[in-house]
Amino acid sequence: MIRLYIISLCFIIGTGTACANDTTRISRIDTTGLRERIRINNAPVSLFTDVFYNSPALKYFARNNSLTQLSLGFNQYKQDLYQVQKGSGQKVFGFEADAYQKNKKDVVWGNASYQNGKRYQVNWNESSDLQLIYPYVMADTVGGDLSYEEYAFSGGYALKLNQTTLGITGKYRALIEYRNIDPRPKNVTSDLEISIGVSHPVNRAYEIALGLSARKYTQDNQLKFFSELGGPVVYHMVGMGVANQLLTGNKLNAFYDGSGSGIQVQLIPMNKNGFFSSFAYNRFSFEKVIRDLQALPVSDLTATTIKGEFAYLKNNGQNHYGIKASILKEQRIGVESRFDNRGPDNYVKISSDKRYRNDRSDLNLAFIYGQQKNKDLSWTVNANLGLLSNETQYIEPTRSMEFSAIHTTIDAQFSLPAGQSLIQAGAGFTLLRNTKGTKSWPDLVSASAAQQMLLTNFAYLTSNYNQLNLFLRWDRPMIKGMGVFLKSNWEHTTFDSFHKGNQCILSAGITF
Amino acid sequence: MMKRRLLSLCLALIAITFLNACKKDKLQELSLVDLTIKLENPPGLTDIKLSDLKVTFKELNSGKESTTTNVSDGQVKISLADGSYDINLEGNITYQLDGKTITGKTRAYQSGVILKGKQQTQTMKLFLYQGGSGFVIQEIFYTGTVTPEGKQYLGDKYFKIYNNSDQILYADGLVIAQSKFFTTIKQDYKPNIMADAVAVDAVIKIPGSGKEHPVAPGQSIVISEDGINHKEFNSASIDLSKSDFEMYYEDSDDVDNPQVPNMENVYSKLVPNNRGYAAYVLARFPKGSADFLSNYKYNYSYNETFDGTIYPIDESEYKIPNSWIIDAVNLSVQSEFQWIVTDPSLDMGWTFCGKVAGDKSRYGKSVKRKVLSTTAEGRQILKDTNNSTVDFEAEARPSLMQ
Repeated sequence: MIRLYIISLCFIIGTGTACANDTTRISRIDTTGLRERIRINNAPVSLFTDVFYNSPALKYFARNNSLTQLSLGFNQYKQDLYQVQKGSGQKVFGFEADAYQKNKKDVVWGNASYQNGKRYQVNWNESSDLQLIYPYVMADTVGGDLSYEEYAFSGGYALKLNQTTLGITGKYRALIEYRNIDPRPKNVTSDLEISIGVSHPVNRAYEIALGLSARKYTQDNQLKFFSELGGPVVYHMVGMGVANQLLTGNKLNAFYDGSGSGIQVQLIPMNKNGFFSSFAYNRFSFEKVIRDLQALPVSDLTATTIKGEFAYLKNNGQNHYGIKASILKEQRIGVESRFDNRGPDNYVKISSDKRYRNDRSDLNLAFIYGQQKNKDLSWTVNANLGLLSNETQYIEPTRSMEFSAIHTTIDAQFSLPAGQSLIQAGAGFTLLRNTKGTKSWPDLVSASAAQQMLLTNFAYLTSNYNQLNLFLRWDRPMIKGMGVFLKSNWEHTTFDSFHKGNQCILSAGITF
Repeated sequence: MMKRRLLSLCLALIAITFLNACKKDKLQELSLVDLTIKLENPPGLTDIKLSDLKVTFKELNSGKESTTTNVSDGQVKISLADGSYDINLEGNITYQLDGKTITGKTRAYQSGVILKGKQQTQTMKLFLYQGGSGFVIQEIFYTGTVTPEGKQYLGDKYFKIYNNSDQILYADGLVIAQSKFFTTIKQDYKPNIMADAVAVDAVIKIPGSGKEHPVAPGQSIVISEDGINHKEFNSASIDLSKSDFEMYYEDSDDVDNPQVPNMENVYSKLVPNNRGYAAYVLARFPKGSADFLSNYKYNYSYNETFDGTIYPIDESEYKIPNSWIIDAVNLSVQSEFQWIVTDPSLDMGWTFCGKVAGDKSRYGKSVKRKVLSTTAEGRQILKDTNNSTVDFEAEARPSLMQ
């Protein structure tokens, strides 16, 4: 009942505002035309600093103009080198409503989306939300395509009271993932996050903000086999291809119960000219229980993320240039229990130890330079240089894997008014070169399925690749401040091992 | 001035992030338990000397195996991580018995030993072990087959008994029995008779007066569920029409091939569990079936726990004394295994077809005893160390399957 209430609230905040804004926005359309609002909203220079406005209170300063966008989209990607637990790609149809309504003293925003898709060739993973619960997934060696439906709602409100700005955001995401042939997972996840924030000027030019967030996550992970001949072995993985042997077999029902919290501090120039900085700390932990064993807790994981970003942007309305540095560090520590098997469904915990650790870091340096003109060609060049590293360690048995890479991206984008239309296009090229790749799992039998899985993943994670990205968007204002748009993205990846990947995104919608 | 302060603040935030990012906490090695195992010698022997002892510890959560030969003064010492362990000891023993010096092999086995804390002391009872040189269970095909339509096919399971000696042996009176207790369900049965006998719930016997069914050295006999050509009904099955014996239950919807002699039904109906949850024993009754049925009843009790409620259960079956048993094989699956349902002196391991309950890959597979050596005359000597884990080839192709 509470959940229903929350869903309804998010829906009202998220999509209700998107519709309701229609009547209140007409007056603003006169001051800034739709085409100009679209150009500013999608401009690389706007996106360059968006990350500094995550705090709910700072949403008030994120944009100066309102914009609502409703779209239908299709996204397909496939690649023949991939992490087996994620799958080789996916095909998804979706609907999204996104609204940002700026008023003199407050701002309200909302987003609602629905996705209906299929992930291809997911193996060694019968759970959902891999990025959250990895490595503690339920798995088998059969796998297959997974169908899913995902609903996401978010909405927020920020109010300026004298000089102080207060903000609140709510996000809710629900996912159901399933397969209609053996093995048949049916996973239902629920992910709710509430953030609050406050900001205050430190002088005439700068605003400082503090944001706090809390998160609640659950996943009900069930697996069934309908074949009268039985099914394959089901594993409860614990990282680096290891599974607890006492839990291996036919324990088919798991539950993940997680919660998290975060804090972020941001400093921004109110006119988007000057120094930006952001510091965010997030902590998320969950416990995995096996329902077949009277809700036995078997493992828990704590993920800690620290992200710091710093930027300087100079924008005189026409020319802009900037530099941005960011560093992200994530650490995941897994604690697992060992059990005494005292009989059917009667496992007693002997001890718990930290057995799994994953450290990930990502360092980026980005440059931007360009010109913006409302009635003429606007163009921007972005360059990015990054270093990433990832290290995983498991003890008992002792296994490890480490890789790092350097990557660079150059992309150019332009927007051009053409008659009443606006054309936005861009091309980017990314090079990633692996600089380190080591692995060690000496206890593993070379022909085992787990070894093959680890080798496939290692080949993917340590592969060099080149990536070409092209995008094109066409907008045309129609009547009463409403416009239509078409958008396409194409991305082609070539791995050094002659493997390839392709992604195609098409969407169409209306803006107002 | 203000800009400088702001810049300083920004840089401080970045520095905090960077410093945190550079910090990596390595996982600590697991704390170890110092384990001492005190060995108890077999009773009734004197002047015992142990040599070449090797002790294997298998942690049941991780599957990790550790071994040690660090044995002195009847004590084994090793440091191991917390966990639940199966401990297996093998070695040589020299002792005095009736004035003679005898050299042989000794063993000890203990399952589910919990190690926790800093120090622990455990005792293990050594027992003497003699390899089999008579009849042995050579093969059990208990999984059955699947039809081309993907349906389970019944009636084509079989046992193969092998003469592992260098003399003609007679199969008359050999008994095959199925254990009452499953290797997948562990209960605290009272009284616990496992050190002396095996509880059984089905017994069949090869007919004959004593010398009607000779088996030459290196030869085997086949005892099938239904001694017919199953390939006529299921192309993926086996021709068992040349079986030496078949099981037949008159009061069941069973097939009786008159060309194949029937086994004697001593007690209940032996229907091999196609998932392999039981143990099978080969035995001889020294005083016949009537004596067994009259004097070897086993009344026992245990507590069944369901949904947190305890239900006391009283049951009655039969027991076969360990001294009557010629050979024993424990079957199980990794996902469900709880315990061995025979005394370790009969069998201290288990073998399998399939790794999980209802593993659909198990069909059409058998467990088959490995060949230890071949004599100059070409007779195969099968491996019989009373440890089915090492004696048997698991998930083997059935020898009678074409």
